[in-house]
Amino acid sequence: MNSFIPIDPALIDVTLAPSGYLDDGGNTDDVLRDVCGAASREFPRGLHIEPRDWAAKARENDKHKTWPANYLDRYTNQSPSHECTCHSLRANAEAARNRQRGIIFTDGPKANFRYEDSKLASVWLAPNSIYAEANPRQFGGANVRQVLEIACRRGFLPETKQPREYGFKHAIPGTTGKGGINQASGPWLPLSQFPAGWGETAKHFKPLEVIFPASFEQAICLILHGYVVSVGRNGHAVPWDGLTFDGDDLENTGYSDSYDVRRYDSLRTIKSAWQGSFAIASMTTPDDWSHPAGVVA
Amino acid sequence: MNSQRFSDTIVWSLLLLSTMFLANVAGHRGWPVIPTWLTTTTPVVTPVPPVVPVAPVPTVKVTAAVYVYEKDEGSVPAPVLAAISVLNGQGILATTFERNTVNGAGKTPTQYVAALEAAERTGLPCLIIMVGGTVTKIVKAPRTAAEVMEAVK
Repeated sequence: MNSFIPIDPALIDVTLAPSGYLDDGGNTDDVLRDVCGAASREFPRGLHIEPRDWAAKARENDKHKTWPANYLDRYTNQSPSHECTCHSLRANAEAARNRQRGIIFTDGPKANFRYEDSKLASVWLAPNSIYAEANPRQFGGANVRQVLEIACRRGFLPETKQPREYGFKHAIPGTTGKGGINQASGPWLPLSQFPAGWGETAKHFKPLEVIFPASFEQAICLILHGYVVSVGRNGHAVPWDGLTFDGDDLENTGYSDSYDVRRYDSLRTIKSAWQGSFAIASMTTPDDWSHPAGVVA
Repeated sequence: MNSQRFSDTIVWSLLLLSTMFLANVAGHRGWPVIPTWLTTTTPVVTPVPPVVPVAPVPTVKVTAAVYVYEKDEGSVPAPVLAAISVLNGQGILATTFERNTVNGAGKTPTQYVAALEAAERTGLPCLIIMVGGTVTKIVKAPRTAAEVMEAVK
């Protein structure tokens, strides 16, 4: 990843047809902190980086491949569903988990490609395991506060498609959308039809600490430290997982969009969209990485 | 008196050398040969010490490395993260662990109990090296990849 090369303008500030991000004005910082309860965290002072040092830190991330995108090993594809907030949330959660596990994926997500290292411990979480509860009607999307609250309360279910056989007792298709070689697609599954006892597996995939940036600068610092920052704007929720610079000047955030493609938000969009954003700092961690949902689950 | 002794020594030495020369010629041509004790020297043999079996040096293979930290104090340094990823490629279970992280039951994951205990005693952040379930080395606040790689040697 090179954060200092020019970006194709066609990939910046792309506006899509509504994909499921509901902005009813309720995704405010205080509301989001409230729904996360005990998992809610202030921006840690130790993560502050002076803006004049942002480019240097970006160069370090380029060198060591320590961008948030480097903790993601797959794209998901929601098309044409309305699941975007949950696809962004799962990117945030998977990146946090892979960061804890210590696995770097050299180029981040790549379309139609599977990393061999995914077998080490990557677990693919099902966006629909959250969305099914956030919007039982399937169409119309969900807002950030709903999906965050659900994830923090009871966790994700893993997808039926995984990079290796973990023997999960409870798993569902990740999306009713297109899916792909790294994502299981399947028919709509209401919460009432989740496999019996599914909560026993989901509790192993819960966000533990969620950081809420209180300024645009804090959101940028989180990305520089390797945290995915989920945001909603223009009717679409995305996981910011990288930055681009022109010399020492910040230009864009990059994100792995839930359509098998990498896109970018301009500085102007970043400054208007950071409010209501969040970063998952840590996820529940198994007693044994080779049995991510516990030995018996 | 001394010069007389010196002359005698020279004469006897020449006589001895001549005799040895003639003896060698005679040996080649089939003439009577002077006994070998007069013409050769006995090689000095250094005694070989007995071979003592050496017990093999036990090879202790590092099985896990974990960087334990407190996120409020800062993140894991990028070079350390990169080194941790390299170690995973080498078959060592290398991870990071934020001190407040728990498992699905709300407890410290069993795989990190010993590491966390050692890290809390030392002070965070630190890199804990383990063989099986035993902590074998602690590196306080490593910042470079070299420090991490050195620790698992």
